[in-house]
Amino acid sequence: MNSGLALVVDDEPTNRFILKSLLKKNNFEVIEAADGEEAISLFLKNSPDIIFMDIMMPVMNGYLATEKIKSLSKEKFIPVIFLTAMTNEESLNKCINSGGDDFLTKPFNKTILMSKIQSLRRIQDLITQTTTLKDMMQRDEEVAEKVFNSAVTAPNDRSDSLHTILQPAGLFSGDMILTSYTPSHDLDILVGDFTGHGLSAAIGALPASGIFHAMSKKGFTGSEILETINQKLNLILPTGMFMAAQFVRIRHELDHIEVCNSGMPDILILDGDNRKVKHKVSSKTLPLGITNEFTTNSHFQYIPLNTGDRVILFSDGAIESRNNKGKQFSQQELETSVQNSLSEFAIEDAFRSIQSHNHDCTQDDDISLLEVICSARLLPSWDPVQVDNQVLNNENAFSTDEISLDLKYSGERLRVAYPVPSIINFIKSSPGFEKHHQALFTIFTELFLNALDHGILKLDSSLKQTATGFSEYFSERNTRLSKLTDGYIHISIKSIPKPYGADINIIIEDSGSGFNYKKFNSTRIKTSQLCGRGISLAQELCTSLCYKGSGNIVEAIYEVKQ
Amino acid sequence: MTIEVSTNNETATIKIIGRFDFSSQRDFRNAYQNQEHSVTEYIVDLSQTEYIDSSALGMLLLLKEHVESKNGHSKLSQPAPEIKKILTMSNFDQLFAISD
Repeated sequence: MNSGLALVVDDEPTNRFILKSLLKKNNFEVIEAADGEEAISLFLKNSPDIIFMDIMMPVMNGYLATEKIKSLSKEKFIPVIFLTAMTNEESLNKCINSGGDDFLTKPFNKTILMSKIQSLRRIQDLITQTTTLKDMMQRDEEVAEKVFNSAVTAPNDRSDSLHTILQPAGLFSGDMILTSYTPSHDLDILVGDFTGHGLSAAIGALPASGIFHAMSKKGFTGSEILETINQKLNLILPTGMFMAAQFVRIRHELDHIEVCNSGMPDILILDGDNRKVKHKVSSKTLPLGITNEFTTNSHFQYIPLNTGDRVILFSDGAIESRNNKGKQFSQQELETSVQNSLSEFAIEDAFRSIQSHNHDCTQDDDISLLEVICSARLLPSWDPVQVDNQVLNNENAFSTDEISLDLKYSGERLRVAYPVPSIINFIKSSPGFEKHHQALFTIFTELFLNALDHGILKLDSSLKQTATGFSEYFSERNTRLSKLTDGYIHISIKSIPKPYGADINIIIEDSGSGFNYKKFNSTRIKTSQLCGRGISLAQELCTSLCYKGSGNIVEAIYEVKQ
Repeated sequence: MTIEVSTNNETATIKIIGRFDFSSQRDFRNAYQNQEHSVTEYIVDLSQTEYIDSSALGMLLLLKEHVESKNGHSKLSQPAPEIKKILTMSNFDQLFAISD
């Protein structure tokens, strides 16, 4: 078996001859150089596997040649063994300092020399394996990073009023920030923190972000989104891995937010005028992916908002980062820093404070910060008829053929009924109706919630006019919903062919006692005190919207132009 | 980080001194996996734990799973205020008995 190519460097031909014979006996091919300079040029030309180096030589000595060769072979480990007559400690020390891997004093013992070669070849093999593994890992990481970016980061919706900072501790982040507009232009935000960090922590982000984006875009409720992510993570992640999460839905009315905090630091709500923290939402549930018995519904909080208020989310990496004295940056310090900030986004200043606190220290954990200014600029321009290029390219022609749907929820089933995303999917699948899904989503949401909240649950929407009333309204809603045993909501939808396209007729009937709707039907008031703003928005989108029966039936007509 | 394990009849006490984080994984796992079958009560003593991260919370879940498969139970004992804050933030008090 060939042992490889050896380069023997010595100005004494006899010395070279002895060594060459020994190496050949041990299956080495051998090339020879008489000084340092020749050694370098042979090294470059023939790439030997091992080098034997004399120290004292004309033209260039062994130390210099070794230094040069080592600097030329950074990628690969080529062992250099010094063979020298010098025995003083200083010269031998210099052999190693100049980059040599071992030394042997002349006259050398054959067995010892061969053992040294064997030991160095073993190290060489290890280094080759490590390099191969490192290359492989790097390739894997590059692929993973690309997949991660296109699956987790790219689908996020962006806005000038939304600012994020994400600084991973390594190449991969165990923190993730997800943002998406719902069909009715609410903004959904999720900041998640997976156990640990690095690639293994980032893996869970793939299914979580997929579910988040798909469900948010279809208009599912926040608790449906979180519960689905929880189920999936619980199924696929091993015990001990989970995701802490902050979820915020900023309603397009900019009057309140829906918040759920599962195992994360407090969510801060800042007053838009003076930037003081006016509300904190602390963690109320377990992180996601730990247990199947996970319901977020009762842990959602509804917090009233004024236009201009700011919502700030951050992961524990932001407040637990330690400086070289081991002291943690605290939530108190973070709050002070955002409250004193004069920057467009307060988290910029908070992040600078964290950085100067950590100064010179390695970052232990991923840091993420998100800030959103709840002003009209946050909302995408309201265009209820969405022209989606994908839809336009669709070959399916407009059809006037009828579609209809009739569905009814009754009794306890009403507790968890939220049929709007499914109804919209049904209508969207009909050629010609796709681009109206956003307007229809808004109409259905408003009419359905109106039937449930006011018709069935008999909640008084005037409660929502004060800040305390707001939370009272939603907690009362939860209580009544959980006790609901009878009643029904009946939805029927039918398309009717028209010269201009089609009308979609919507009738929603509830089992409630209704209300005095005479005034409502006769005027198209913009802000109806009776039913809140929701209905007036639906009214604007429909060609007609009127109440019937005792006020428990609403009939709406939406026009679809071909 | 040091882990001290003491066993008294059916009770094992695992005391974590210093930082409880990813680097504690192997030692912590050995501490509960090497117990006799008769040991069913596991106490994680956090009185001298200075820091706890999410990996450590994950390790506690693994301990819980292991102990429950032996029909035993586990509890956390004497966390310092800082540690307790993190346990409460993660709502781990819903999963573990925590004693002061």
